[in-house]
Amino acid sequence: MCGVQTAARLAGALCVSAGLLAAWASGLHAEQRNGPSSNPSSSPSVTRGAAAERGGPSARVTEPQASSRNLRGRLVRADVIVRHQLFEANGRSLGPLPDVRYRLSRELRNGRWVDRLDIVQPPAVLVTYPDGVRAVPNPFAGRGVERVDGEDEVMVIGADGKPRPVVDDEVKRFFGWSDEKPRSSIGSFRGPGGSWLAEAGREQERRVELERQFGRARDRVRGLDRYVQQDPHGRLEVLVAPETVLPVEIRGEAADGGRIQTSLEYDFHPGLGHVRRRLRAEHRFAGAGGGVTEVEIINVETTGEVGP
Amino acid sequence: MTPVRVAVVLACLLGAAAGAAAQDRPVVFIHGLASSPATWEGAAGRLQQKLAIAPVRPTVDWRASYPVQATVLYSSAATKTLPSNTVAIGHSNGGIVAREWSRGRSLGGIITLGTPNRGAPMVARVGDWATYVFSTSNYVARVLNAFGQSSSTSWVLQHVTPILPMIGDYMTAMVNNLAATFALHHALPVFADMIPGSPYLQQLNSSSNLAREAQQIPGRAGVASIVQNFHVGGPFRAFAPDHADGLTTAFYGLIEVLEYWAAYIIAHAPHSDIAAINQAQALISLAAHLRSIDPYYCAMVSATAGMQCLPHDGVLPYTTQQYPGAVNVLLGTNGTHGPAHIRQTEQSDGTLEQLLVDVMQVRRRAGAPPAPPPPGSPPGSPPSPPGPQPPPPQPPGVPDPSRADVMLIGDILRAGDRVTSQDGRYVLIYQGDGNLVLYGNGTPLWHTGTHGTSPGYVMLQHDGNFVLYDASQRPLWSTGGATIGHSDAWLIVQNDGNVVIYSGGGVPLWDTGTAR
Repeated sequence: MCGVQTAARLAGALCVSAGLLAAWASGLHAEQRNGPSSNPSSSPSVTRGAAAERGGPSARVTEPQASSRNLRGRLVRADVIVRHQLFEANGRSLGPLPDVRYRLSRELRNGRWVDRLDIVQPPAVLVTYPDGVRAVPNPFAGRGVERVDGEDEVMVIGADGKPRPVVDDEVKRFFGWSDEKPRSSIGSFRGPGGSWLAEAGREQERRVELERQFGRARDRVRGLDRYVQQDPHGRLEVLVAPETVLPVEIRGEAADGGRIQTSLEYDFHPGLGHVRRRLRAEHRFAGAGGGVTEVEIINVETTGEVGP
Repeated sequence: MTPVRVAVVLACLLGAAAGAAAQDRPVVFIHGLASSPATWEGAAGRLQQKLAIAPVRPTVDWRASYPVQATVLYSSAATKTLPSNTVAIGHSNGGIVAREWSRGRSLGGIITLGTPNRGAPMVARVGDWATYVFSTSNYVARVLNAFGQSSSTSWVLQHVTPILPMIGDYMTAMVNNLAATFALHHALPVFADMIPGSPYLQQLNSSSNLAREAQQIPGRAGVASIVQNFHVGGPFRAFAPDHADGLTTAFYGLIEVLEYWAAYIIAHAPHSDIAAINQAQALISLAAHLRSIDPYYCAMVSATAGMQCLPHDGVLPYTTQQYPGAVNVLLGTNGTHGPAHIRQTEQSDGTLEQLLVDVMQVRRRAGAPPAPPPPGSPPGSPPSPPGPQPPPPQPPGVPDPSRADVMLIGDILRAGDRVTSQDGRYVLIYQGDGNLVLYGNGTPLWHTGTHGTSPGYVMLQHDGNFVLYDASQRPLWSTGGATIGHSDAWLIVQNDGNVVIYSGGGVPLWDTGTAR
């Protein structure tokens, strides 16, 4: 129909979008069927001694591998707030959207590490009623998501507090999706936490890791070490604070003109090190609008008093 | 009983029925955008059982401007001779057509049901909506690009990969099904009239015209509806209200899983792992973009600009549904909820009955109602006599499986197969290039846009979905939401050039929008 009718601008935009979306969805389905194995990036790859588990779901207990030294100051819990704002190609903002607030935790349960994301404050929609604006909650939002390290499946916790499948049979029928379960290779980090804490005294390790990815710093900008990586797909530039060797700005520029700039801020915990405080990414897509996504991490508990 | 006595009794009964029908109040049920008289079939019949009304269900050209649509009512044999106490009930745009009709003739009453009396903001913003939905592919591409860089969390992609095509299906449905349900992928003359503040609506709602309506039309009422949970899963409430809760729940489940993986990476990836930071940001941005669909959709439905969200029926805010100067009923307040826009003709019996009795002064029926006349016939027409009948009109009716113009559940088209209208002028053909095309007198009128794919088959599935698969059995195109769940659906290439999928009850579920 799109090609047959002389459509107005708006209808035309819809035609184009629908067609491209359909093609995109179709392509993604094809990729899913073929499996992601042809994508080199999809191979499980866990570095710095965090071994990947392979071979599908396993009932065996995974023993935490972290040393007691690593336990100290590792992440146990944190609150995460996400703010998002969209803007159109002409730069006009569509207005900020209500914040979403999560509680992120990692705990040992029956000898296995469980990562859990609880939605503390699901976003409400601001509705204008005759008597004023009210925030109307979303009754379909789940309470959260959890996954046992080494398990294949991510469980969504429904509003009733019970685990439920992400997609139920009604929706599968609606879209004609098969019952085939998503394939996945198991990967995970072991131990009570990953690397929330950038420990003091490990600056040289971080520098080695950065140089492994980017080579030596090219120069200094605003007192920050500048690392650059360029390939046919685009250019990536990272500015690193020399004293902490922590990235504070990441600038990406794709070959198609899309841009993204991420800034990172940290909190310093004396005697421990730096913890991520805020990530703010501003992205603009080539020929389209963009958005600003800000992730703020607060109430970080780094006492690490968990585990055997 | 002798044959003579039978004939006498039958004559008396027929006379009595015709007499009762003659006293019944004519009520003209007018359909709206991308719809047909069939949408009123059930409600008209049910109301006729209870009230002394003689329903008429005319066909209007829903693509045309409102004045042109009303022209049909002036000239149609079914409506042009109706008495001055006739009541017009219009659903959606049909309500405006009723008001337009009243400019040229006397009416006893008008009821607008889910009518954009003050315009449909969505019409002005549908392009913005498509652009917004389409931008989802940018966010997905960003995820894939981010995971193209090796990191300590690259393996997360394997958990995310199954989700991405699901999101793609959601987005495609949000554009395609919305467009198909409301014919938004066309540039229709009526759209210019529907935009809030259009010259047509300004004149319609001008003080002079409202004064005329108040003076000339004894009974006027508007029914506005607010659908349950209008603020979440809005697109689904518009085109698939029966599945909206389930679709919304799963949609948010997908978002939450994306957020989980983003948080997981943020928690566990080393600080110096720049690629992992990019991956987390890409995932959280995609999730945030998806979460913004609800406020964005509600804003699109509510107003022609800005992000204000008003209670709505899936398509129209309650404010524009209200009939200026009339008795207005709002369904969906005080803990209740009204029907979704596309279910309003089926689910508003009680309200319409009350308004017909209380505002339009229609009598409740004391005895049995007359047999319903065929669609489009003038009120008071006697029931059809027994004996040989001409072929039934299209639609409704259960089709004969041997007919060349229909497909029934389970029917398949392979490359070169075709379905031809009864008069032979319109042909739906599955071509060797993989495209399913409707031709009218040799001219392509509609197609699925799947040319260049390897042909497999097109099937009217047992769930009612009409799906085109390529040679690898990949579904490339489908009618989707509106038809799914109708295991008694059937497809017809009509003599008017429209290809329509009807439910077994004759309710149109989907069409190509090509009626001539």
